[in-house]
Amino acid sequence: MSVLSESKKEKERNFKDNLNYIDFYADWIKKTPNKVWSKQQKQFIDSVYKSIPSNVVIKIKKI
Amino acid sequence: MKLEVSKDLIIINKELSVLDELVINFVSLIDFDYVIVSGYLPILFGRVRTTEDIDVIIKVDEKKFSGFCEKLKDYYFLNCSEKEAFSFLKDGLSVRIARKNSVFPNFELKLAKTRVHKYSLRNKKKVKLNSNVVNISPFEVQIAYKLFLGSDKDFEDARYLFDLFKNHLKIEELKYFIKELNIKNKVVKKVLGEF
Repeated sequence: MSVLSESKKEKERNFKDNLNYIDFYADWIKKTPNKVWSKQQKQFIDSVYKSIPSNVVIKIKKI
Repeated sequence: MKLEVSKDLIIINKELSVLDELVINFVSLIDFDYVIVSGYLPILFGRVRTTEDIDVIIKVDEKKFSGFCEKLKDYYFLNCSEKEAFSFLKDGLSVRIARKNSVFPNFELKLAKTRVHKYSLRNKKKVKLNSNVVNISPFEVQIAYKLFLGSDKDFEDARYLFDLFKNHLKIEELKYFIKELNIKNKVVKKVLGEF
């Protein structure tokens, strides 16, 4: 099997895995109280946005 | 997940992330017709991911837009000046607005030009998010449009919204937009399965 066809198969497998995960997550969230899932979601989202360094703004403005 | 879904209103109570709070603050400044579309929708309903921009379709004239700009004291325009903004919109371009001292997440505003945009505005859903209200595009359009956009991330968003709201979707409308957007059966089957 060539590198290309092997990688295409792997890509397709990953995609199916991700969709399966989406199904699992959607099932989980339907069964989980809002307070529980939204607390976890908030922790993740807040940590990402709060980690953005403020000097990013300055760099972009200079471009 | 506790959700109350009726014809034009969805009620959800959740712990608000910084992204939710930003959206609530921004839309509270809008006093014309708008809908939020695309990536923020799955996030609003629990998908754990981030986004660089929040897409907003608007219907507004120049005078109202100017009044809105005056309220943007904590925000600034990223890709044009305030004076240029409405002509950008009229030309079909988007204008990007962010909180002062930040670049993302930013709001990408577009004037409603296409049939999909106009349909979304006419058939918008109100989401009561704790004590706040945000307008969103109908899921039937969003799911079909995500299939049309076609990246893996779009497909995953489409699957998530479909999984979550399948008992509330107007299937005929979803099928109509899938057909209008010329999405191949193979793609629909791969992402949403049989329905």
